[in-house]
Amino acid sequence: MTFDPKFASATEIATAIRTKQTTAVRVTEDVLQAIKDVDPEIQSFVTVSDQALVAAAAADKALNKGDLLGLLHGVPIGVKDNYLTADMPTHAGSDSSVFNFPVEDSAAVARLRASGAVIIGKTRMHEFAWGNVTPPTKNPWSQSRVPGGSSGGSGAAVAAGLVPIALGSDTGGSIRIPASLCGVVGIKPTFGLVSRAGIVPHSWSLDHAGPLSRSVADSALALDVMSGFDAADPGTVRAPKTRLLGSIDQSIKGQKIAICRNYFFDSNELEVSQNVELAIEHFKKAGAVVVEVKIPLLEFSLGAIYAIELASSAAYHADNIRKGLASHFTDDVRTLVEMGQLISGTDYLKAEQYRRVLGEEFQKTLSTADAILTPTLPLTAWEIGTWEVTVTNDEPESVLAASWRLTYPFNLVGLPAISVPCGFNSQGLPIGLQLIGRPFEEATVLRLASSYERAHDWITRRPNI
Amino acid sequence: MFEKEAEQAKLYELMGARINPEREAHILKALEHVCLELAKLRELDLKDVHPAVVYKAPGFSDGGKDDL
Repeated sequence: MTFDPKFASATEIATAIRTKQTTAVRVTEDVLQAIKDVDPEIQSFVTVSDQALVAAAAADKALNKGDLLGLLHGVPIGVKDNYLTADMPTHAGSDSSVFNFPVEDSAAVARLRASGAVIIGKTRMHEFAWGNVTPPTKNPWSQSRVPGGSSGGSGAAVAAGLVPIALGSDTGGSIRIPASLCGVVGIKPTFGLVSRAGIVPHSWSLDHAGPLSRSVADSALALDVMSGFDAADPGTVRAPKTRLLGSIDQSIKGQKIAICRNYFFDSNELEVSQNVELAIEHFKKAGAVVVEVKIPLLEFSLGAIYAIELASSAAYHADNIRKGLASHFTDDVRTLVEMGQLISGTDYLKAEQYRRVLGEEFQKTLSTADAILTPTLPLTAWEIGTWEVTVTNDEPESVLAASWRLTYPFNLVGLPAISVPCGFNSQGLPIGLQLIGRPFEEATVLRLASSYERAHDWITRRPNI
Repeated sequence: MFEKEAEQAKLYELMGARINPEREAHILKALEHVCLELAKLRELDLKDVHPAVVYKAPGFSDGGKDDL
């Protein structure tokens, strides 16, 4: 029987190539054909590599000589359009030709290639990572709905079964939001675990790099390849390379999970709440200890992330603004970048003061609990063209404010946070569960997520495309 | 009067790129919800809190885990 890479995991693909059930070239040809067949509808890729087959042939040649390049030998991977690549242009989600970026590999892409990965193409993103919509990409579960963002192309490509892993970046939830809305896994690692060198910056102290994948195991695998100190990113730490893949199936018995009822459970869609409560029951049955906690001051976090993200984005784009290039941004992004110029230095520093206080509050909670559990988003994927939503019976709010409410606190404090599929609502739209751990304890959140994943069949469900 | 305006414009320019007042009003109106959140944050008394570290002297960072 011919091996079909569509919807296969990275481990399955790597094993099939290593054991000569298939070749990297055959896998790459199948993936390129699947992109041709499916992507005109989903539009998850902005660029498809013309070098992918060359890389795959090189991987096959190496294997024939007995050289296994690494954990991802021959595995097709998508890369968000803000990661620099040597063989494809980078646009950071912009349609304009006035913004130019170096043609070289970002640190994460270089590590993937060194591990044998075949970079299939660049996935679409919300322009300059400043939004949660990612036009024109569609959600594979319902093509009238958004895939989320800003790594929306990566979420859609993985959900459509085109690639097992796609890279994303996360400044306020941009990995976890599309992961949740597209029904896939996405992990924002601890600040400093993965190098951001060669990723177009959005907000230096909030930006994180990480993978989206169909399975928890594939996210662990990707992090094992991507993690590690890089002198080119002043944020990375000299921690040993992770060995996460081998630890995710361990028992979760006795693990303490904190449920913060204030803020994270204040205003969520009913079916989101119901599915998350069922997940909490799963963890209790699996032997975890669930405790309820209260974390104060979270109601000030939105102002803090706005101050830091807006000011940082304006600082990054200062030269573009000075040169009069702001008109080349889309309207929504231009408004946000220009708003960054209006953030005062005192407000920025107030946000940094708040950030320290919030970090200490999370530290207190995580000194007695191994992880925190929340929904990833208060809602499921919204209709394309909708800019305001009413999550419960409260006032309408912007989709930006509603969709990142439960994710951005963990960008402010740099903690590892994973989104894992948590069932579907009555309209068949995916729901996400978020697990947050202590700094550099990705193994804990991956283990908990894997326990939940193995106990449910969400991963076997496929969108009708 | 013209000289005064020109001098003022020069000072504004020295302070960085300026957004014209009409555009500025449009941005603030469009992002009124952001303004409200910033105002709320401003009400917090944090004068005794050292801001989160955003700078490390070159050569003094060992990239240790405590850097978070």
